[in-house]
Amino acid sequence: MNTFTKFNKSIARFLLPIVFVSVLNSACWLSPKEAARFAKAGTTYTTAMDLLLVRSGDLSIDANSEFTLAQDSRGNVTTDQYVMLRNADRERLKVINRLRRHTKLLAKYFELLFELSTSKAPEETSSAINGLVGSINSVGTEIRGSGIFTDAARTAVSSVGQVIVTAQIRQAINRELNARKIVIRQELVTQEELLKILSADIEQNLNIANLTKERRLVIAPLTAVAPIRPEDINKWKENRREAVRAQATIDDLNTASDAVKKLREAYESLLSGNLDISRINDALSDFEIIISTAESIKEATGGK
Amino acid sequence: MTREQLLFQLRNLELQLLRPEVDDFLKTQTEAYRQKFVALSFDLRIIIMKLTTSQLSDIADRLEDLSDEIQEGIDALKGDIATLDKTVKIINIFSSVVGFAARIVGLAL
Repeated sequence: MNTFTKFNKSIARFLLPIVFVSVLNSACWLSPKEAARFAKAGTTYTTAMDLLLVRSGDLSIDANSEFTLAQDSRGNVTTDQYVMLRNADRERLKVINRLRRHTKLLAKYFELLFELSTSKAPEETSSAINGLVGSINSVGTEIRGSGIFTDAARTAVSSVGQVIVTAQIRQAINRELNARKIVIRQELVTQEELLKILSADIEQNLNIANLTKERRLVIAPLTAVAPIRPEDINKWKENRREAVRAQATIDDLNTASDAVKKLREAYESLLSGNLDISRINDALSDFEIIISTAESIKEATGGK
Repeated sequence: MTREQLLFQLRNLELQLLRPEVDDFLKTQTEAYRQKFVALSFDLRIIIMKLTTSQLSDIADRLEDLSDEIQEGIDALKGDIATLDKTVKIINIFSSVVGFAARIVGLAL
């Protein structure tokens, strides 16, 4: 056995325990794939929540506008009454902006957790080590006419690099999720409450906007002494259709109000080392409902 | 009665007062009565707005209390990602240096 074969065998003997320890250490850790799924769901949630916050702010202003118009047709609205309501609108927007700032921070956290969980560093390390071993072999070839590492040793060294970096990622994810588990739990419980409060507020404002719009655009032309003009009939029917369909938006939002609870349950299952994929999928489909509901709110308050 | 229960009842009352039947009723009332009704409706709207804003503000306070720790998490994750990037960069630099050395040795021999 020549010196270089012995050298390559020594490398194998040196690397094997490292691989063994790395794999053993990371075996009981959360897998990056599961952490990535949770992080992705978290990102979708923050997108949905931000959209909902924006729409709820706009809806609140629009509902108050409809409310003011409705009261003005009942009796004269005073400047004081108008100013009080406008100030209440502004106060609401300030709080919504605070909630949006925090949601953006949470979104950043989930984005980075996803980035770490889906890192290409193990493959890149393997490829970099492969390049390094190739360079070392070139030096060997120049000095003594043949490479230092055999092909098998070269593959082994670069694979070990990949295993070690993968274990490093698992360790970092594990450390992070454990360090932040109490705060993320609290965050999700509070977000659950926020979604419930927002849902109730949106429901009320949609009801106000719908009742007053229906009264102004559907009932008033109908109960007026003069019949609806033929050229206005299609518009009247469109308004009536929107008034009737608006209830579906409220129902959808109520359906999705458990979305954060599902994300929280998925988080608990992730921490226990066995991510409940069905909970993640349920939460994701609820977040989609929230996003489409938020879009419906925009359409419902489309300036009529 | 909790704030939530009060809010629930006030919201129901508000929606009742916005019903078209109330318009029909108000048409039969005096101007002064209608003005009083509008003023009370505004008061009710403002109370509901303030109670809801207060609920949201409480939630914002609680979430902001968690912001520092979430920021710590963000910094830790950024650090982990940077360490991984650095590992790859260092190996690549080392590889380039060795490759360059190989060319020098080749020229020298």
